[in-house]
Formats: sequence, structure tokens, C-alpha cells
Amino acid sequence: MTLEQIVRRITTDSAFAAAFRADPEATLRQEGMQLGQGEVRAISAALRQPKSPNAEIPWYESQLDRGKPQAEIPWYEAQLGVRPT
Amino acid sequence: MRLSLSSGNVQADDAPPRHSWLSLPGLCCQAAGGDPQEADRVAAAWVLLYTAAHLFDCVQDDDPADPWWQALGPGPAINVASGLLTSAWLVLAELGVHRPVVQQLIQDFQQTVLRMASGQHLDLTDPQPSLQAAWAIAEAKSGAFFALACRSGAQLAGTPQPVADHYAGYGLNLGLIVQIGDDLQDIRAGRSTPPLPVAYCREMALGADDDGAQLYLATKLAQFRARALDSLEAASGDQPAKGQLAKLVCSLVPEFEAIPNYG
Repeated sequence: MTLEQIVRRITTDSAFAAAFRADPEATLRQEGMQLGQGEVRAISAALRQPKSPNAEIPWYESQLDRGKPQAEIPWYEAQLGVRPT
Repeated sequence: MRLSLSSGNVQADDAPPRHSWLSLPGLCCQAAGGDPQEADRVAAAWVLLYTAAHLFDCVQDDDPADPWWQALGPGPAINVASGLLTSAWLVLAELGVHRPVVQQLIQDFQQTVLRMASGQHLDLTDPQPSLQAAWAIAEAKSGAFFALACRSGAQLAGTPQPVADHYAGYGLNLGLIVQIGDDLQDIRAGRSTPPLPVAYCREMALGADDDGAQLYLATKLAQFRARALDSLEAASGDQPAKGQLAKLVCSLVPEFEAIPNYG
């Protein structure tokens, strides 16, 4: 079972979606599906609104150099807004 | 001088302006132990390359013209894009063509352009790409382009290639996040139907505008964010600067993560 197929099942089967929300690993196991831990976490993350952008990344939060003076911004940063091609 | 995203470059906790991307070479150079100002010319070349690619893409896709070339038409616009591309090489060459790292950077830029052009060729010639092909196109275009920014910055710091590759991995995933975010914005604004969600719906036998594609893209966002953070964690270097890069990738995601409730 691929990540794509499980996402499709979630979007087309509300009972499965509710069960997945409650306990992803148990639901997949019960249905005889297998998915890597990273993929399960990714679906779970997409199924809820994150409380904070920093909530899932404990390692970097303590590293931010808060309180440093504002960096000089190169001229092009101030001038350009960019979009992917 | 250290670069930081924690004050002037970030408007709110969860919404960095997109021009923060232009700090990528400098931040990666800093994270890899170098002087971020060393990366200014690389960032300038990267912006020139971006602008050229955007212009080529607009003309090839028959997108609405930017105001400055609306009256000129596509011919002159292509001419300007060629000039921008050449300017990128000149800016890089000014770093000193006899330095091995500069030769490596120029080669890396050129190989990335070839990869992006290959992705664009597939994009232009395959009207119904498979989901796998649609991801390959996104990786060859946005992914490769952002990987270049990050790898270049790390290479300027003199970091070993395996470490530079971790920074490239971060950039690749950041580029895919940016691409997906752009697709989601287009879908929600009703502007267009981008190739990735269309390919997903086709492959999963869903209607072309099924909003399940939004959950799929949001899932991929979370996956690429995790991969970007894993790449950063694996890269040796300056922890506070790596924190800045982590903050950038995490701040990009939430604005796109609001999805329909499937519970």
C-alpha cells in the first residue's frame, strides 16, 4: 500500500479517516496495510492544524540566535519578491 | 556579520516573506562555517538565474506577461532572459575563475540549468504526465534550483562534498515545499490546475478537481519538511545558523497546511 493509496482511502472513506485520526498505526495494521513511520507521521501532520510551526522540531528551537541585531539585508532581498518557475 | 532571519527578514512567527529564499546561499555558507558575505555574488547569480528561468517559463507556458514586457512581447522577453542567464555566469566568474571552488560552482550552476531544462522539456512535451513523472519534473525544476542555492553556499565555505550534499538535500526538499505551496495557492484561488494534483487524481481515479488532492499535497509537504530537517540535522556545521534554516522551512509550511476536514 502506498502513501498515495492510503491518502485516497482517507479522502473517500470517512470511517477509515476517523479511525486513522484516532490511531493511525492500529488502523493500518487492522486493515493489513503497511506504511513507514515517516509516511504515517506525514499523513497525521497533514490531517491536523499544527499548533505551532516549531512544535515538531525541538532540536532547532534552542539554537536560534534571538536578540541579535537586525541583519543587513542585501539590496536584492529588499527589491525582489520571487515565485517558483 | 551574521545573517539572521529572526528579525528584519521575518514578518510574523509563521509567515516569512518569500525573499527570505535569497538568503539561502549566505545562510548555508554560514551554517557550513563560512563567511556569509562570501556568498553574496552566488546569491546574485542565483537570482539572475531565477529571473531568467521565470521569464523563459512564462513565455513557454504562454502565461500572462509581467507588466514590463507586456508591450514588448515574447521575442524581446526571451532576449532579456538570455542576457540574464549570461549575466549569472559573469557574476560567478567575478569570484575568480582560477579558484577551484569557483570552477566547481560554475559547473554546478550549468549542470543545474541542464537539469531544469530537461524538467521543463518533459513539462512542455508530456500533456498527461504520470504522478511519478510529475514529481520528477518538480524535482528537476524547483527542487534542483533550491538545492543549487544551498549546495553553492556550503561549497563556498569549503565544506567536504558529503556535507554540501546534505545542504543540497535540505534545499531540494525546500524547493519541493515551495512548489507544492504554490500549487495549493493556485488551486484554492481557482487560478489553474497544476500538474501534480491533476496527476494524483488521474492515478487514483478521482475527479480532476477532487479536493482529496489537497490532502495528498499537504501530506507531501509534511514529508518534505521532515526530510529537509533530517538533512539539516545530518549536516555538520554551525548550530544557530542551521536553526535559521530550520526556521525558514518550518515557517513556510503552515500557511499551506489548512486542508479540508476528512475526519
